[in-house]
Amino acid sequence: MRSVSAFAKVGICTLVAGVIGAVLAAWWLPDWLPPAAGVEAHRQDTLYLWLLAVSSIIFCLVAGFLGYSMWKFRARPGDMSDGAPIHGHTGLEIIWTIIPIIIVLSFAVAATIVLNRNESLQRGHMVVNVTGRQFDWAFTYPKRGHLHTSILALPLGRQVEFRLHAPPTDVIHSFKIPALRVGEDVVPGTPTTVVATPTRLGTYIIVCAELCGIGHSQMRNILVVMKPADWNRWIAKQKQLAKAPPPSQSGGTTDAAATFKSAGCSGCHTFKPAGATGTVGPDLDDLTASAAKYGKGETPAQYVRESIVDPGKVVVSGYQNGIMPSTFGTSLTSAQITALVSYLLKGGG
Amino acid sequence: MVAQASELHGHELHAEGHGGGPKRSVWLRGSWVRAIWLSTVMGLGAALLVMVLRRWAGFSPAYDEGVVDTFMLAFAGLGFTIGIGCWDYWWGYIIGSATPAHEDHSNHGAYSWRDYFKVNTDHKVIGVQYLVTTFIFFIIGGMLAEGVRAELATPGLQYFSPATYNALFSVHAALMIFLFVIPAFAGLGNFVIPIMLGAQDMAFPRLNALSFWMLPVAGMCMVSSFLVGPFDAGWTNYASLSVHGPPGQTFWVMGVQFAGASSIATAVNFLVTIVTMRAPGMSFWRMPLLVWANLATSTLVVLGTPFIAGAQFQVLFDRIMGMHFFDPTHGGNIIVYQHVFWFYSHPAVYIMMLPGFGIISEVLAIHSRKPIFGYKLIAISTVAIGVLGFTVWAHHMFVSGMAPWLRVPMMFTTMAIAVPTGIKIFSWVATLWRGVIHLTTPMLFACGFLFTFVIGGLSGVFLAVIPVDINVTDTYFVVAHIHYVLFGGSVFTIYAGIYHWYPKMTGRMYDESLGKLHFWLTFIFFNATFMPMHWLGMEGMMRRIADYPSKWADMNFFISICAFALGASTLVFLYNMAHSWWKGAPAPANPWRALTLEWQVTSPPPIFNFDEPPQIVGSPYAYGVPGARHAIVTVHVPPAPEEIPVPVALARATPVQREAIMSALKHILVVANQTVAGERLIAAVRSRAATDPIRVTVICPQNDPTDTWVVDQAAVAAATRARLDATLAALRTAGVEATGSVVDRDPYTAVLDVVESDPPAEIIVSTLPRTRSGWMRRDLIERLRDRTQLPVEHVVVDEPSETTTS
Repeated sequence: MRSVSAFAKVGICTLVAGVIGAVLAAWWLPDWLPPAAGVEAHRQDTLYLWLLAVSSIIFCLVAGFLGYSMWKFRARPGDMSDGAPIHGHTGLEIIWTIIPIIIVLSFAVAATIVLNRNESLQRGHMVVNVTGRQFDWAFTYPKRGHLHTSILALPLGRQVEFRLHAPPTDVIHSFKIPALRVGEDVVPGTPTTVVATPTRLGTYIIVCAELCGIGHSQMRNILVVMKPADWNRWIAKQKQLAKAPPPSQSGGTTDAAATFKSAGCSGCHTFKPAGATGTVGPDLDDLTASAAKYGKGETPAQYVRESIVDPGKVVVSGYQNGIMPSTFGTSLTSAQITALVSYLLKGGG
Repeated sequence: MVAQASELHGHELHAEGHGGGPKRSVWLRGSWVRAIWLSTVMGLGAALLVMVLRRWAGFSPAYDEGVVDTFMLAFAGLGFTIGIGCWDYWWGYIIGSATPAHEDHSNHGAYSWRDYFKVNTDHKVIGVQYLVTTFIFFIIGGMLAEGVRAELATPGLQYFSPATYNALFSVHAALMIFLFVIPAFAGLGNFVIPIMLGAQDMAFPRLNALSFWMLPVAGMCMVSSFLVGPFDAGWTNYASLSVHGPPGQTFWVMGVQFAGASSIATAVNFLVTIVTMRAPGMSFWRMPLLVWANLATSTLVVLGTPFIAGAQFQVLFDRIMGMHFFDPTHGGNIIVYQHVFWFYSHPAVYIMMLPGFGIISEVLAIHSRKPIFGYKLIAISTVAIGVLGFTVWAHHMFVSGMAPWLRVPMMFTTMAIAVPTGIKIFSWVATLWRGVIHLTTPMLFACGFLFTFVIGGLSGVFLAVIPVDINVTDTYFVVAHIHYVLFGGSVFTIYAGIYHWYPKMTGRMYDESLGKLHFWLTFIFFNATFMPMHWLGMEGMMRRIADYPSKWADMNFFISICAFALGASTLVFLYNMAHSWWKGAPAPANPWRALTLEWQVTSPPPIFNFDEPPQIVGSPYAYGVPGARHAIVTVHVPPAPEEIPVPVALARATPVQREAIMSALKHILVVANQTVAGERLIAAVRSRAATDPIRVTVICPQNDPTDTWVVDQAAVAAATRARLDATLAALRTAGVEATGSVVDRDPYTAVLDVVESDPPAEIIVSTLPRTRSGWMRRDLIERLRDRTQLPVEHVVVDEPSETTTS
């Protein structure tokens, strides 16, 4: 009888500790996650709370009984006796089978409900096409005349369906926005979608969440959530910058700075005038010197042009061949490349 | 560590060669020399042949790195196993060379330290070979991890290029999974399980040796990938990054094939051994839980490993044969890779976990002197986890873009598998309750495992919830989870198992203070390293990145420092293992006073483990009941020639001397009726006499209350008397002072009579097997134990009935 009450005492103490832990976790949770910036994020955070609460209780129960037993039933020096020949206790075993079944089933059902709510498309949602490629993100707004931009801007409060693509010869990426708590892989050959509804103004990070090669850590972009009116203005401005709807990926403008961004150069290269800090490929800040060293018998302009359309011909030492796409010769127009060349040579000096 | 050779069974002890004759040259017989030249010749020869064929068939250029590497590695690896001697016997069999009259066991058993570096068919040698080899790869994999943490200590790229960094964590994980955790459990199981089952070796000892030698080949493949551009697509190797990866990809694929083949062969060996070679009396419900665990694990290995082999072959074929399994421009499907890969790799995590669960069950029961709580439920939940493990693979693919309808069912099955796992954790904690807990190093690691595994399991529940998984997948939350279950889980159990069975394997005791130091350093720095990663993941730090935003700099720096300390703690372990093996105190046969069979033989065990099959008479966890035995082991020890048999000494003694002799002898009461002349019983008594000087009283209780079918009591009594006399004569000849009588009482009362008049120190009750024994049906043994509080040994004699009563 004495040990039954000890069992009850330990059980109650650990249960109380677990509940206290749950309350503390609930209080601290906002510090552990980025601020929830979307409807789906808020629903998810509720799930986190319940998971933390249940985990805290189970952990305290297990650790409590473990620690208590290790202390209370430890062998005194020289004690060669055996413990009590207890082989089991059917009642206890039934309880700790049934209760976990109930707990996990509840979580599974709750998760299913949240998932369905998060993913059900509502009338009036907007569509954004996202292209993930080594090592940059690009965005297209099909209902805004296929406007192509290099950063993602969204109006507050409107559900967005992201349609994710990767070039068929590329690798798997994963489009993830921690603040919105959503993400989905971007798979060559298989279009995927993910849904989010931003509810908080601000600037948020977009990351790639699937190892995609040597530029994986750099494959980041920005989401800006604006008020609807501001967003409309932003769209209009972007349209102005892009002179015509582009059939290719680069935006069609001969504005070299825009081409630099939209073609994804900043994903891999450092170039101060563009604010690019990529380190996958060589630093472009001093191309004249580079051309002198590597471009034997060519003018700097020829060297830079060749480096864009045929990157494998001359590889700067310390960098690998085969990383930079060799398709810019076709995806960019000749005028764009010419503009890029002078932009690059001028910028670095 | 040099084992005692068994003198009996006519085994001839040859160090080398077969039945005499001059030894062949080291270049031509199974040896490292032959292994090296043969693997070189076969590897280069295959490469050359492939290039010649390509030139002839019109492929240009003749040298293609991927193709050449594939054939070179395959044939060099095979050549190594041929050269070292794994295939010699089978080759001799195939070509019909004359075999010795009977197997001379020339490459069985460790007679010197050199035997550990050769092909050896003794499961104990192979077990040690596995453990040492896997720990070498543990150290290499660990150093790669320290490289990762060094790079992540501060933001920015300091030491490694992004390509090398990607390779660091890829090779780290590959080595840890395929060259450490999975084979370390194979090694521990290899050593312990045959002895635990009462067998002399595994079912297929030569296959066992081949399984081991494929492992260094696999490890060399993976490590040497650094020479050609290491594989860098993660150990998961997703297409299509892997298809476009550096030449080291081929090395990873071939390494996995060798490791997989090794694993599958070992699993087949375990399955056959466990199913067919258990000692008499060991039903499935009397198997120790380590055996259950390996049974389930081996099934998983056999059914699942071919899938990862297949997935990697598909990647290889895309790379070197221009196939398009994963090329969407030619009808391929990238996501299919993930399905095939994870169909193995999820059961793989149970392959890495279940043997550890078995080890923990053993360690907890033995070091807390208590039966394991809920034995049947733990055994059933082990099998359940094995089966359910095949139904959850797509929980690794919630955001992969696979068919969306598959996610919710996979979440339900994943949640389901949490239940048997939870049952086990609760049962283990309950095992400790009211035990007598000895906080030895293996026990500390077992308790540490309970602490860390419950955390890892709970974070797994987080990951099973799809909306939460969508947020934290591919972040450091997952890194935290996997290390809590694989390091805090598997590695802690490996440490527990190694410390627990160290005395048995080496014949030495490890240093307990160093062991405790190792535990505390590991436990503290493990938690300090991996707990913060949960928060990093929730805050949005992705995994497999070489650089990160500077807001996480402090946390990463702290983690890196703790990771270095964790790595350093391994040095304490390595020193303890090496030094104790060399200079540790000699270990007794049973330092932990355990009941299972491996502890009933010497440390280290005799080369062939047992002289005759032991008999299993009870549960392996029968702690807390005085005299309860799991097994009776009979040792064939001939009497020392100088000893004078006790009856002769007594006959020659004066009354005073007689008094002295009799009081020095332990009194053993033997109770047997129909089985009194059984050879088993006589051998058991002789075994008893070999360890202590004893005098034996044999009683044959005739009158059983329900023996209503006895017709001629006098005839039956006479027959029993005759048998008893034969038994007493046999015992006396063996030098045991024995008297006996036929008693006309029921066995229970007859024993109590003797206990009152001439108290024995122990009782041996001999019965027919359970299904034929009236005494067993009436629970005689347990009643005697309860009433007399004496150790009661139970011997089962399975002889055809000779009486008229049946």
